[in-house]
Amino acid sequence: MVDRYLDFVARVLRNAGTPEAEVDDDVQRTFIAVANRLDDVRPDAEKSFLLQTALRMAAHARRTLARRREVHDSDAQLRIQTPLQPEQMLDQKRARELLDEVLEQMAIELRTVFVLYELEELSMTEIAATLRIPQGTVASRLRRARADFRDRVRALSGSTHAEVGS
Amino acid sequence: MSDPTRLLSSPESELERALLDAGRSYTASSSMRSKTLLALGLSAVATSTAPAAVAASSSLTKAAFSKVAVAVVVIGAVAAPVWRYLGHPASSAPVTKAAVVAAVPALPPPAVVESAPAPVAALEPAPIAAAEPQPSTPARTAGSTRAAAKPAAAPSLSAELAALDAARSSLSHGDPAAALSALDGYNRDFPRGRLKTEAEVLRIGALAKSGQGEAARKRAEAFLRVHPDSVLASRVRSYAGL
Repeated sequence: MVDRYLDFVARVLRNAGTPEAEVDDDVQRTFIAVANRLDDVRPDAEKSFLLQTALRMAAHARRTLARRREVHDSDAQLRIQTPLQPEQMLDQKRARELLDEVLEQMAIELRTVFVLYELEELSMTEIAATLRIPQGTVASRLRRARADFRDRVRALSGSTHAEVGS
Repeated sequence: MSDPTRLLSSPESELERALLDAGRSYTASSSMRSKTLLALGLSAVATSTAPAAVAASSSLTKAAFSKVAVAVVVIGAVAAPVWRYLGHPASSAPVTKAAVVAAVPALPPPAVVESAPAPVAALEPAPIAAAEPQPSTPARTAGSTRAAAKPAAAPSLSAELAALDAARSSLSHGDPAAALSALDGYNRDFPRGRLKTEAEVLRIGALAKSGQGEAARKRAEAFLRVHPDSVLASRVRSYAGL
């Protein structure tokens, strides 16, 4: 199970808001939590169980990060204004940073649906089951999440072009 | 209700494509797998419960047998890779589901899990598994493609893991002196090892089991100062009696 789902768990944690430096520990916590609950996991539902556990881990990590930022950090809006050079567009590390910034600004319920649908390619039926919400709610959140994501990427792209062009 | 086409199928800009690609292509670090397996394996060191768990499972009543059978199927997914990775031949892995569950008893579930409603209720009736075609699930396709392309762990990491497994094995067989010797060897061979944290946890356990309780306690306190939130923290406390 570790071999099969390691990347999946790490990716969900990261995209759902676990800081990079904490992904290692939360991956371990996720698998340990599942190992502790094997009695409760249907053999064909391991992935679902891991996903739900990882989402809760990420929620906890986001709350911790938010508390830390109240004390130490800064305005995400400022960080997203960092100039983006054209040659950096396809740089994976830079793209990851920008994705983090865009996702961080999305409402959490929209972010979760967006990540599960657009990045994990779960179906809306699967997302509804995982989050225990009606499919109509998933569809509505997804619609808003996609619009929100695109708006933010357009704004990022626009500000970038303006800065680069100036 | 049909699912809309994914944004990545028709991104409206290169930036959007790059961001979505970045989100999909995130993979576990090269050391994450080892650390995860070791975290599960390390827990077994302290309890050394595998034989007991086997004995316990053999005393289960016939009525419970079907559940055990299901359990063995489940545990195979988790325990076998762990067991094999830690150097045991697959054919002789005396691991049961109970063994793996027992392997992590002192590690409390994360607070987030404890405080959240149990996911079981959602999982039991969850249609997600049924709606999840195994080979063609897009998410799995995304992950497995990368997994297939991902190179094996660097030899040095395997060597590190083998060295720590020697220490773990000695410890679980009641030979903490040999474990300490193996850990000294690890420090010599891998002065900047990626599994130093795990090695330190093993050392604390070996010191405690060799009657050097005070040394174990001091190292445990130092460990907890540096890694207060480590997944291994509760294990360290347990070793040192903190």
